[in-house]
Amino acid sequence: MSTQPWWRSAIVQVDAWVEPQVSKAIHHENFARVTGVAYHLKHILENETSKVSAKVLHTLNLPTRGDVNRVARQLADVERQLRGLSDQVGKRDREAR
Amino acid sequence: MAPPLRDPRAVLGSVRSELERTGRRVGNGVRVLTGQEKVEVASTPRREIWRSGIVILYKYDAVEPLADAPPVLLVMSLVTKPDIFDLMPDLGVSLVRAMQSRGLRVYLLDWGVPGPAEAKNTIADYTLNYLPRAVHEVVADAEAVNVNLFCYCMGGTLALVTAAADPKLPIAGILSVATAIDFTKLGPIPNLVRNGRLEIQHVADEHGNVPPAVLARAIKLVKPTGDVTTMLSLWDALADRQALYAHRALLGWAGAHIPFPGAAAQEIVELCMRQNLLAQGELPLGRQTAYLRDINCRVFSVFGTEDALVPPGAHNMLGSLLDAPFRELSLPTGHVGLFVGRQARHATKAMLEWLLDTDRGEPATADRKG
Repeated sequence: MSTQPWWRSAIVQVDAWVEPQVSKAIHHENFARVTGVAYHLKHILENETSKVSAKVLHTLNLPTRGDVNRVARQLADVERQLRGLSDQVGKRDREAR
Repeated sequence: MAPPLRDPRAVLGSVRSELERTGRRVGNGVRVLTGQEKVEVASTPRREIWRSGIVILYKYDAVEPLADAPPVLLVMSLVTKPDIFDLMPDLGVSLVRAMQSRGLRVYLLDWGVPGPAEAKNTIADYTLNYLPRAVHEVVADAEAVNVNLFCYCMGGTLALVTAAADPKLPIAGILSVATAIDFTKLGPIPNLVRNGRLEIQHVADEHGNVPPAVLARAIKLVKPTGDVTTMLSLWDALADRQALYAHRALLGWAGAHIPFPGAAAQEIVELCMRQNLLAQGELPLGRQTAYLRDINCRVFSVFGTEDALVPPGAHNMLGSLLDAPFRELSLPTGHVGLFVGRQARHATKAMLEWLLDTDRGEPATADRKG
């Protein structure tokens, strides 16, 4: 006699039936195509929305998220360059020793 | 004929038992929800001995007597934290402690949590810069001749490419666990990015990194109804505090992805999923190309035959791509089962034996300096 409660056995059985079907659908070419298109459209929509909100915010002389991100990217580039320089100095020190 | 009636006493006993378990579930659940039960992972003491940006090299305290074997450098994937190596030390589930108990000197290379400055990190940054430098730091700190790399998932991919790019690195061996070589076999994920269907720029955040939520969704696709199993496991574990602690520790680690540097992600998609170059034994790294056949240290590949994320088809060609001594071990378990669960004991035993084995019939590489 099974020691599993009836509801658990039912869940496991349903899952055993559903999972292969869902997995098959996910592996299908159409899923990949639809997902690709959905993310592409989302990306376009976000860009277009940003452009509109940027126009409004810039008219009010306010920074947009894009402006902040641009500054963050510039800072990140500076940080990368500093790290590179620091590594070069460290390497030279080690070689001098 | 009607089924025989169950003994009323047995029925009462089983009802009483289930009520007790439910009571414990409620009690444990309340303790968790009110924050009384904290999960402590990766608590084995360690100290930082080297850093470059957010990449940190840690050293775990050595436990005497020390084994006459190369120190071990733990290398993790770029998309999850390295806590799996030291998941529940207080409950005896810790690879770090298992290594220490056998006298191995253990180091951990923590890639850190990528931010804006890491978005432009390429695979070359990890394989020509961070990992080689960490190897040299370990060799210097341990006063050893070379080091064994113990790698999990993409950490193994990085280690193999590192050793291929510079065969002169002082690497005695690479032990790779559940490491993908053929990225086209990673379930439905490669299908999504094939033929330009999905580009990294479509999913990257404002800094250029692939967000943890996107990674989590992609991994969920491998086992789409995995949450059902998780919930059932949680229901079972709720009645037992230790089991609940273990469940939370494992789920906490598995769900805590870190941002994936956008440039490295783009290279994985283009070079490993679309062109599938690594499965052909090579990987371009900027101005040079790493060839797996140039690896001159021994390689041990450990994998689970039931691994849905990195199935056997994703790495069973590794031996044929190497000229170096190669060994593999398969166990009937999944991606995480090599560290946690019944098969973890067998995996750990085999892996420790390999790390401690200094007699390999090759030129001596395990002697300590001085």
